[in-house]
Amino acid sequence: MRLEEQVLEKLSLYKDTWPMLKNNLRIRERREKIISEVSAELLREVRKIKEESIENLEQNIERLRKALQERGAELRIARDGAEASRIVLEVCKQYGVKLVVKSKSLTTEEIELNKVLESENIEVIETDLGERIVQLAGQKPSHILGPAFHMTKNEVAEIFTKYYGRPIPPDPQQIVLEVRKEFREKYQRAGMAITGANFIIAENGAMVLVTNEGNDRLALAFAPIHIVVAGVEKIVSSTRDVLKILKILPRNATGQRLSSYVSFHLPNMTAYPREAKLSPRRTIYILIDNGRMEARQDREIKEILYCIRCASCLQVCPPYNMVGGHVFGYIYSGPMGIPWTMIAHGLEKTSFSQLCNTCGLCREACPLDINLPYINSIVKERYGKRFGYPSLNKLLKRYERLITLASRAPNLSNKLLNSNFARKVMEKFIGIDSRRPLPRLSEKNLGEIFTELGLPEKGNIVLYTDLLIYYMYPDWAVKAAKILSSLGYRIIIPSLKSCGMPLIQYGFMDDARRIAGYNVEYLYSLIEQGYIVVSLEPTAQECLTNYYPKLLASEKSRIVAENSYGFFEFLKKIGWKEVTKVLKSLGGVHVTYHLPCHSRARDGSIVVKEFLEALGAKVYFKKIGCCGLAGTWGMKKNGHGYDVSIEIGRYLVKEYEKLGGEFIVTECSICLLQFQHLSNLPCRHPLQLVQLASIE
Amino acid sequence: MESGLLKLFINRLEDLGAKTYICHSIEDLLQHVNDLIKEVKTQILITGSETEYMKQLIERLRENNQDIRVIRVDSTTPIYDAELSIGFPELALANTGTVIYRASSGIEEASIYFPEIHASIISKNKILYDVEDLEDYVDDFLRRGESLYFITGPSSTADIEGEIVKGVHGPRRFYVFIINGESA
Repeated sequence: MRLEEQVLEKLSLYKDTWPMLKNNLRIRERREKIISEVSAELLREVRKIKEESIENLEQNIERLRKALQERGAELRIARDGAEASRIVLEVCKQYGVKLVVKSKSLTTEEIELNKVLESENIEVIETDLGERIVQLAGQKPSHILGPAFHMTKNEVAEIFTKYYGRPIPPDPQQIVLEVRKEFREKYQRAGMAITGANFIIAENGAMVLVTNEGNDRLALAFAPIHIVVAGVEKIVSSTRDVLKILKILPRNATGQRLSSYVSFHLPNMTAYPREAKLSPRRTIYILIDNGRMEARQDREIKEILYCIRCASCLQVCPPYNMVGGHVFGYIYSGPMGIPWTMIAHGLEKTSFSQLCNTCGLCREACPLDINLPYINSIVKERYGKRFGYPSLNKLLKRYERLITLASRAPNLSNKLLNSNFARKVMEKFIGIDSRRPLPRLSEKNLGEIFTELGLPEKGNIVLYTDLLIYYMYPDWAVKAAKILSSLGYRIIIPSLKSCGMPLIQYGFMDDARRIAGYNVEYLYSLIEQGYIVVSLEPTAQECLTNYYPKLLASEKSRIVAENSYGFFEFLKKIGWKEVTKVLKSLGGVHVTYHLPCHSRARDGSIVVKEFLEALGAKVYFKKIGCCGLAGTWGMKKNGHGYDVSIEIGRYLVKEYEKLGGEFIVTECSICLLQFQHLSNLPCRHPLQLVQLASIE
Repeated sequence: MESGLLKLFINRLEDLGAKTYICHSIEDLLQHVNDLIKEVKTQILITGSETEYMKQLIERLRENNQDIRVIRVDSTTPIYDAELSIGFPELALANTGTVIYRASSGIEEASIYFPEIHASIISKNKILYDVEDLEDYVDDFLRRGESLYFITGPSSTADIEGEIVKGVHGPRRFYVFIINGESA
């Protein structure tokens, strides 16, 4: 089945129940309550720990080998999954193992170990409840922490009813009791335990496991043989490193200060007595390369090796939350699943990367500050160059030319864009879904309006508007310019290219780099003359501060990023006290505010909410996530974008309409389009609400 | 008067669904343990590091003809049907509501996790604030070849529709008796 068909199938299955989203929202709610306990300094420290662990990997492997030898355990490095599976199978055969209990199975999922063992008639029991459910259902996990998050309790009960051969009620409590009873016998009988590891400590050979169920503990307590299957990147240098990471892992993963069970497990344990005899437990650590060592040399994606598998990125990813990991993933799923699939399973398995809408929420959520949206665009680029870019994306790559062309005859273009026939033609030949309303072109573009207004040729602010405001909503820019002018600034409108986000979004990185290069050169020369860059569109600002420095890796791009501000962020820098002097009060106005994904003030504050509140508005706000449109992504027909985008937006609008605002307000022109399409409430840009005190 | 650390420890444990009791003497402890034992029909496992309180508790339970078994590193009799284990952890963490055990054998591990109910007995002065205070302790145990097991509340899962269910594999019920004063 093609990707877009799989998308439509899942959307129809999850319609109105949103199982992935609801499970992730529950975790996010718990996480929000305690995440402020983690300092930015600690996060930086942990990032450094992971950077150093990857940098010193060879030395750490040797230290670990020595530590394990001293404790009577063995270290094997497997080049790939096949080699790791072969080692496990050899040990099973050597000791006549017939039953294996597993826990912390993500890495063994990666190498699909169960298939190999089962083909040799070895019974394999996944002991984590979620893993067990998907194992019995013959599925892959849909979430790296909640493998069965996509299922309802009725579906789970059906699986166990079939397995036990008697009715099991759809009651999680009852299901847990049944599994508990069955597994107690399995633990005692198993000839081998296979576990993953959250961390492995090079200096002493301890493996660290973090779980909530305690399945790992019982699997290990009884097993005479223990095999650890983990990626090489799990090695850290010291106990201290692990204690630092433990401060952030459970808080981010499940919203707990610490998971129910954490163990620092040494390999020199005595095995549980069998036939009243004690014997040392045989322990083998199999560390898997499977593409990791190559990724370590790959400048563009290396930082994904710092991932601690907290799944924060899955919690917030809008398309993933709509379709789940069976579509948005291979074995690793969600945002982190894109590069991990490329590393472990090859580029050819990453076609699902097209579902990433580059909203960037994953980066914001990642405690290690891994630049996932950029890395994912790199994967899309590599996929596109090797296997061909999707034809829709190739057409939409020309978005700037299409808009510029249409703007030459705005009235005619608007008429055409409103005709059903033209929309059907556009759907067929360009791929823009005919159900998606498009914004109207302004009769005069911003450049023309500014020329008529006779604003100064020289100033101290470059107001960067990007494409949509320039051609469709120039009034907002005029209002912004007047506000800045009232505050004593002089504005120029630059002849910049569009920010290039659609190119980044679809992985046309060479084209994006060219645009970034042009814009940076232009802005840098102005900054040298003392200008400050102020962007009206959050996405333009995101490109200037996040993507351009990554794309160009130049000093100039860094300087441009440092000297660029979002419009409302800049107003905050001036001071709300000064700003409110030049604007009329919004007292008595009740608004529901939507925070666009790309609105990221340097100080982490929600500046537009502050702005509206400073003017006296009552602001209702609930942080849920992306509106779903994400530029041209949500315009693409059917399962390519539109239907997922609508489903994301529908949930958001349902929640927003309950909050109590008279308007939905947001500073992103794209988010506004989505809300205008889906909400019964009027939707406004903040600049449409405010009026200058002196002039208007 | 309860110290800030002790209060925090108790609050965290109760938030996690554990039951906590402060014991001011061995009599006090025995009273609480006896209340718990009443509902248990099988042999009771005693595990963890030997302390004065552990010795006294074992003695008193034996005096009462209670069927108990003390788990040592080299114990060889199976423990399959035990419903309750009582453990003496090495340390506790107030901010996370955690107790920490050491073990060097599978039977020590199993005795903590296998029974349906687990009760930890720990002295107030073994409570530290949070994981960052553990560095020297953890390294010390690991150097001596002992593994460490942190328990933070009962075993739980949210794998089915996000509903939190207790007691998937490890103990379903978790009690912590805190000795206020002398070393347990």
